[in-house]
Amino acid sequence: MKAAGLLLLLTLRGAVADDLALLRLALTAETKVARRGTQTVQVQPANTLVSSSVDFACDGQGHSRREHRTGPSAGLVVLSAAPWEYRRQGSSGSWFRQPLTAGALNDLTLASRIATNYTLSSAAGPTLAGRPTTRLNLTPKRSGNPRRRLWLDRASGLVLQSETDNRDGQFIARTRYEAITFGPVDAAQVRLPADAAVDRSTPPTALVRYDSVAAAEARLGHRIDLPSTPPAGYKLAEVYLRACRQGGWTPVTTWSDGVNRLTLMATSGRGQSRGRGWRWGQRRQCEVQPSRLQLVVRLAHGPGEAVLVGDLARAQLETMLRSLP
Amino acid sequence: MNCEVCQRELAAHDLPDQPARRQAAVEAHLAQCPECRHELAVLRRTAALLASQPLDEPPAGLWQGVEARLAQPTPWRLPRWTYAGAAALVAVLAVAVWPPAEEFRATPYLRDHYRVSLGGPLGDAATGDVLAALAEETQ
Repeated sequence: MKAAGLLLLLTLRGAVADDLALLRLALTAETKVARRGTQTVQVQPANTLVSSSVDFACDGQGHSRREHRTGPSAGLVVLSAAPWEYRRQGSSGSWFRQPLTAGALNDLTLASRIATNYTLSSAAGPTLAGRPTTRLNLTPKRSGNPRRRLWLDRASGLVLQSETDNRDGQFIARTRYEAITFGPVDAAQVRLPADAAVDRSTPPTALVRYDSVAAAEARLGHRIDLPSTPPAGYKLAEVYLRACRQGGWTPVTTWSDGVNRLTLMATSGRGQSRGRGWRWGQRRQCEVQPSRLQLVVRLAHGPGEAVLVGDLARAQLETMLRSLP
Repeated sequence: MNCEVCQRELAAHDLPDQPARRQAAVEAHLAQCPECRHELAVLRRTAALLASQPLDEPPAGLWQGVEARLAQPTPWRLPRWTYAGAAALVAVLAVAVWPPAEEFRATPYLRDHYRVSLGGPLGDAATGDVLAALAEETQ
């Protein structure tokens, strides 16, 4: 009996280890597997499903290109080459440069964090784009977090399809390769042309990423307030400064549990002097704008206000905001 | 002459220089009306009582004081209702001029959130593009 129990335990541990290995493979494959293909992106912000068709190419060496053919972002071309991302709307005009937001964690650390906060399970999946798949489920260990499902190419580990359910378990997004070809791609296709006009000026509301909070504080000239109680499992991921239309910079921090992300933004000089109706008698009242995709919660903070955006249970977002010093 | 007319004339009956015809008519009525004679007797007792009281002298300088007050310019005053009206007007203007609470525009925050939070390493970079575009559309 004991031997049977031990065998079951070892089998389960082996399964978990296999699932973690699958996840690591998927994280690595995203940038290491050269391919080109067509993706369908489906987003359900409300009752209607919004679809887009995207041409995608990656050289397996950190350069990738995606071009939106149809849908809300039709005409958008994005070239990614760490640490930058270049965006152009339409076939002409300048490329705008902004920091690539793939995350500061390496694949091993990220996989470890995901495994800490999500239960991994796998099963055989269907054939997608002509490729056999393995389905990998990422089920949050804490309620109120979104859920992910990945269908990985059995040979390469590349994510061929990804689905996300929101904090309430409702489907919100799916990305799927309709066609894919593995192998080298033309370098000219995924790299910024040498004669490309790049607008490096800081556009309004541009985000500039910093390596640390200290570096951002040095640029900002004052301390950045950070919440003392982020939701369980979430840690500070990245720090940015955002250029304000009125001039100056405000801090933006992202918080991640490995899969889901929250964005905390500060605004300046508005919270204390807003018009009638918002703050009378409710000095620390959170205002929430809910949607199926994300919750946006704001709270008066210092001379301005703090805004937290994320797909997470409202109570957890409010607790995080209220823990700001 | 009847009683009503007679009693109206009685107050002046004892005053000097009254018209002789009216005095004669009053006397004729009194001669035949005990009620009016009683009224005349009451009036005469009242007059006698008043005449017996000493007159109080007004305070010295009373009239000068009244004259001085009269000589001063009249202060400008508004009717009381205007104060209440003005208060109400101020309240209405305060509500109208003080800007209403700004509508919470979440779009800029959503757009930036999608920029920094999606495009992750699990095959959903394009999803972030679509979500950011949708956020722009709802602006």
